[in-house]
Order: sequence, then structure tokens, then C-alpha cells
Amino acid sequence: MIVPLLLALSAAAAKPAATSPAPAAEPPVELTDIDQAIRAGRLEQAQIMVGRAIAAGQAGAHVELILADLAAAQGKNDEALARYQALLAVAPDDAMLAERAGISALKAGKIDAAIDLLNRSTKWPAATWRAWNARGVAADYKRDWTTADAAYAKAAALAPEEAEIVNNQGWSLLLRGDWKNAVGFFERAAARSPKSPRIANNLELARAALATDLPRRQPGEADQDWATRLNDAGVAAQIMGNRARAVAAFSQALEARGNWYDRAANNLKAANSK
Amino acid sequence: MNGGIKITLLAAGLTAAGCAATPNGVEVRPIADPASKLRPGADRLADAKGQLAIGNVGLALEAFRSVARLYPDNADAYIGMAACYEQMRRFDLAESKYEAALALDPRNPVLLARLAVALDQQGKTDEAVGVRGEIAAIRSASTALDNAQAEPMPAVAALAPAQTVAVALPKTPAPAPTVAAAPARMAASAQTVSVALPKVAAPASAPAQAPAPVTPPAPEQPAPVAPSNVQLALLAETRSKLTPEQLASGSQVDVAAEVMRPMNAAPLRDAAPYIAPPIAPLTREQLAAPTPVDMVAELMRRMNAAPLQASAPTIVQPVEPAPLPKAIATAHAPVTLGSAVAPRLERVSLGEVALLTGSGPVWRAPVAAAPQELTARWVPLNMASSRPTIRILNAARQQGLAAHNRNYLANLGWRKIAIGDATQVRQRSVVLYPASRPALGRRLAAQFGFRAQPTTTSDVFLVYLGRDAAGMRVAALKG
Repeated sequence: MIVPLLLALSAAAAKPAATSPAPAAEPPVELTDIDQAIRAGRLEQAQIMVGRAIAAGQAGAHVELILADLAAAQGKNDEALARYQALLAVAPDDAMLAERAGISALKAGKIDAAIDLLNRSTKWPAATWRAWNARGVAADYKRDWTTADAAYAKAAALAPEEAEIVNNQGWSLLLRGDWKNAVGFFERAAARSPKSPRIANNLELARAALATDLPRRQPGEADQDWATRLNDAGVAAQIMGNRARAVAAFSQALEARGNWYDRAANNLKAANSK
Repeated sequence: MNGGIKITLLAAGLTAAGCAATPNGVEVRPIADPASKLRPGADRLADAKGQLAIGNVGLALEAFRSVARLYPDNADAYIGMAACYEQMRRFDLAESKYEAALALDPRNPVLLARLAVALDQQGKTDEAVGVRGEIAAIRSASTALDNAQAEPMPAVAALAPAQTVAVALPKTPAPAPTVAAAPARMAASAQTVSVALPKVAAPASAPAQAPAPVTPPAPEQPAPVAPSNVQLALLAETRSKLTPEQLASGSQVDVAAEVMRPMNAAPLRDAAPYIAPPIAPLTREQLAAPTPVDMVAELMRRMNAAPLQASAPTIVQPVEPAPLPKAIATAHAPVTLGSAVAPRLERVSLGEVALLTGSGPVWRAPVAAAPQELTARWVPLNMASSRPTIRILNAARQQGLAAHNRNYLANLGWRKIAIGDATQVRQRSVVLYPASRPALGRRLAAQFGFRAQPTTTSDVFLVYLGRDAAGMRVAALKG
């Protein structure tokens, strides 16, 4: 007798709560401000703002897109891909969504899905250089050099000054073992974007592979940095078949670094085992 | 029993002695922002700021954190935490807190500027440049908005809900002593300002927000060899105060101003509004000049006025006489100055000069002969009309901003200031001045460092405090 009564009371008490309006006291948040924060890399600000926007009852495609963009910017590539794909289900012909989804898939390591999405994006005449660039990277993963070259060429035609494209072209050549030509691409990329650490590292790697000596320590260079360059030079030597040089580089990298260098140790073990 | 009475008497005696022993009375200081008491968490915030000001960074941080926990929408709490982290040289954490504050006020250029400094300190120069680009974009957009809205600004009628505050001028020992030499010569709507030269204490100048010393950027961590990279598209104030030299020079021209009129003169409502202008201070050397004429010339130079023609007071009949008795108006033909518009000085005695700021009639001939002018009653300064001549309008939607700036102006010697809320939010602050009073308008704008703009729709000086002014206040709070 008491139990049904309690159940009825709890149901009655729960009903208003279920129908109570959403918390609407929050003022609306300008979604364009969140976009701007994400573009500027202020992800903490964007996270708080999107939380406030949702708390204020704001919803819709723009909010979903912001959530996807935020996840992508935070490196949550799987989540970003899922969100972009949910949006693509509503707007399947949106080239921008397909491009972002493809890039997220590429970063998540889902190469086949990335190729599919990037093909959807690049079929539109308005496809951006980023979509073509990502398509080239995906082709590199698949060792599809023809497609990669074509994709990079289209990307370069759309953004001739973009250093990232030139860098990726150089990396594509490096993957094919064409170190000499890769250096030229990396040098051009470094000239366009001298502050990019990634391009500088790639150039250093290519030069180290072609050099006869191991990389020398630069003035003021930290132990860790020098060890990293030595390890890279060892990898390059190993790819080019110079095992002795690779072993020397890995050994010196282990010595240069103050603490244990797991990667160089593994590389040295692999080089010695061959 | 007797012991109890003795104890009671002793306690009463001690209490009385304590009350009587208050040295030099009680020091009463104005509260800069009276409305701040009403804001949620304001007391805790004030406590935190106090701790930060005296160098207790840890306690301040904890207090700010407590405010942020209790009132998550209070941007000041996050700004305070960021300031604490800056003191601790933890610019990475300061950046994080500035981002939290920006989440509440994303287009605040001052916040963005401080974020840029924090980024600079971490060696993130490219990001800092990007943030500064955002600031420039916000400011240019705000300027465009201001230009678009400059003319349709609300006129005085739109300011009806403004809170009017009657500001009493300091009571003088004798009513209007500075122009006692010519009591009966005051005409209706005269805009006379008597200029006395007392020494005033130089107000402490607000500390400028000096950026912390730039440390060399940390060496970038080279990334391990990675496959070809993919670039995501989406990843991709200062108030113009008096200069320290001016302030340090000791003496400053203090202006006591009032519209003085004899009985039976024109009603005050017809009189043009006046404002007591804080004239640029004179230096000690100038004040010590042997001849008062030099001082007058200096004043004239500062006011861009025409040179003084004569040291004797000039009696000027109105060009367009205010409603005066007919006999007077006909008896004295109007005399005009060469430059009727420019402010000018007239000497009323060897030690005093009178500053005439209006273009209209100021002085008129003695009316002793007129039968209507039997007596002259002087209006004490503190009984003068309380009609405001400056309206400070809060266009930033930040509580207490107008009151804060009113106090600021009052400390600089400006009087008759009313405050209120503007009808629209503005990004940029602006001072709108009556077109006939450009010099004063520019001077008022210079007190804040705002843009000055003439207007024909208002006869009072309008100070619109935009969000940049709110930001300046935030910056001042930190200091």
C-alpha cells in the first residue's frame, strides 16, 4: 500500500521537474566569438563559451559545428570525425564539412575514411588547397605517388605561397627515397616559413641524410635537441642503407641526452639486430 | 555593590575618554565606486585586490579563486587570478585565466592586450601578434560604429532617466568675493569665471600599465620526425591625465565659477550652460612672476585666446541683450569685442583676472542709474543652480563606471556632473561637446584621452563611456 503511494508521489514530484524549462537565465553567447576563439587557438576560452551557450539553451547546426571544430582543435580527432559525420548526414554535399571530416579522419589514422571524405570534398570546384593538400597526404600514406603528386600540384596552384604544401611535397619525395630533391623542397618551404619547427626539422633530416658526418652540436643547443637531431640522422642513414652510420648516430644520441632516450634505444636495437 | 558601581563608572569614564581622544577628527575619504558594494562578490573581490596590492599574492590568488567559485560569471575574479599568476611569473597560467575572462567578455581589447603580453612573456610572439591583430580589428570596427552613430546620438531629451547629482561648489568665505570689485556689473547670462590661484595638492597619477620585462623566448621543442603535416584551416588607454610635470609643479589654477546675476536679471534657465574649466596649471615660476600681466598672458596663451588689450576690466554690453529693463538696454549701446567668440580674460584687480568664456554678453555698464537696479543679491556658490553641464553616460553596461569617472573628474576640479546610462552600448568612448565650445570640449576629452566630437543637438557636454573605458578601469584596478 505504501509503496504504490510513494511511487505515485515520486512520479508527481518528478513531473514538474521534467517539464521545467531549461535554464534560460544565461545571456546568449555570440557564436561567432567562439569561432574566432577557436581560430585564434584560445581553446579554453572557446570551451567555456560553448558551455555557456549550451547552458543558455543555444542549439542548432552552428553549435554542433563549433563542437566539432573545437574537438578537432583539441586533437580529439575521433570525436571531431563523429561530429562532422553527423553534420554530413544532414548536409551531404557540404564540401567544407567533408574537408574537415577528412582531415580529422586522416589525423585519427583512418586513411580509407579520409580518402573517401576528401574525395567528396575535392570533387567540388570550390575545394580548398587544404582539401587537396590532405588528399595528397592520404595518397602518400597509400604510396599512391601519382595521386599524391596531382593533389599537391592542385593545392600548390590554389595557394602557391603556402609553405605546408611544399613541405609535404618534399616529404613525399623523402618517402620515395629521393633525398636530394627533397632537400630543395624543404629549403623552399623553410624560406617561406622560417619559423616553422617542423619544416626546419625536415630540412635538417634531409641534410643529415646527405651529409657524410653526423650532426654537430650547434651553439647553445640543448642536450635534448641535439639528441633528437642525432636520432633523426640515424633514421635517415638507416633508410638509406648506411647501417654503420645509423648505429653511430643512435649511440651518440643516447649519449648526448641526459636521461633515457627510449626512441633512440629502440632504433639502435633495431639497427643492431639487422 | 559598591564594587559594581565603581566598575561601571570606570567603564563609562574610559569610554568617554576614548571618544574625546580622537586625534584630529575622523578622516573621511570618498569611496571611488559606491555602487561596487552592491555587486555580488564585491567585498571578497575588494579583499583579494587589497591582498594583491600589498603583495600577498598567494592570499590574493586564493581570494580571487574563491570569488570565481562563488560567482563564475565574474570576469574580474579571473582577471585577478591572472594578475596573481603574472606576479608569480607563471604566464602560462595567466594566459589560461585571461582566456577564462575573455570567455565572459570576448571583445574586450584591454583583456586581449593583457593576453598578448602574457603570450609575449612565454615567447609565443606569433600568437601575440595575432591577438594584437584582433585588437586592431575590434578597435577599427568600433571606430566605424562610432562614426556611423556619431550624429544620431541621443539628445538631451533621451537622457531623461539619467541620474542627476547636484554638486555643490565649495562654500566661499564671502559670497562671490572674487568679483567684488564690480558687483553691479554682472549681467544676466554672463559666463564669468573668476580665476584664483591657490595651491592644490597634486593628485597622484595613476600608474601606467607597464608591461613586464620581456624574457627571451624559450627554445622551441623540436618535434620528432613526423609524417607530412596537415594544416587545419580552423587552427590556423590611458586617460590623458595632467602630465606629471604639471602636477609636480605644485600650484594649479583652481577655478571657482558661477553665473552671477543681479536681481531682476534674466532667469537662469535662459543662460547658456557653463562649465568650470580646469585650466592647465601654471608653474611655480610663472606664478612667481613679478607682474601679473605675464600671468595673464600665459593664461591667454594656454587658452588660445586673443591677446589682452588692456589690463583694466572691460565693460562689454551684450550684443543681443538678454531681457533687461528697457531703459538699460537703450541707455547703453552694446560694445563688442574684436573676437566675440574666443574666451578672454579681463582683469578685475591687480591680483585677479576674470575669464570670459562665452561669446555672448558678459558684462554691461553699471546700472546704478537705473531705478530698477536698487539692490544686488549675490548667489553663494553652494546655492547655485544644480543644473549639470557635464553628463557622463555609461555606454559599457558596467556598473559603477559612470560614478567612478564622475569622481575622477570631480577630483580634477570639474563640477556640475551628472551621471546616467546611455541608451546604446558603445565600444569606443567619446566626448560630445556643444559646437560653440570646442576648446572646453577638447579639454574635457583630454582628461580621459577620449575622442572629442562637436554636436549641435546638445548644450551640455556628454561623455559616453564605452567598453574601452571599462577596460581602462579594469587595468587601473590591477595597478
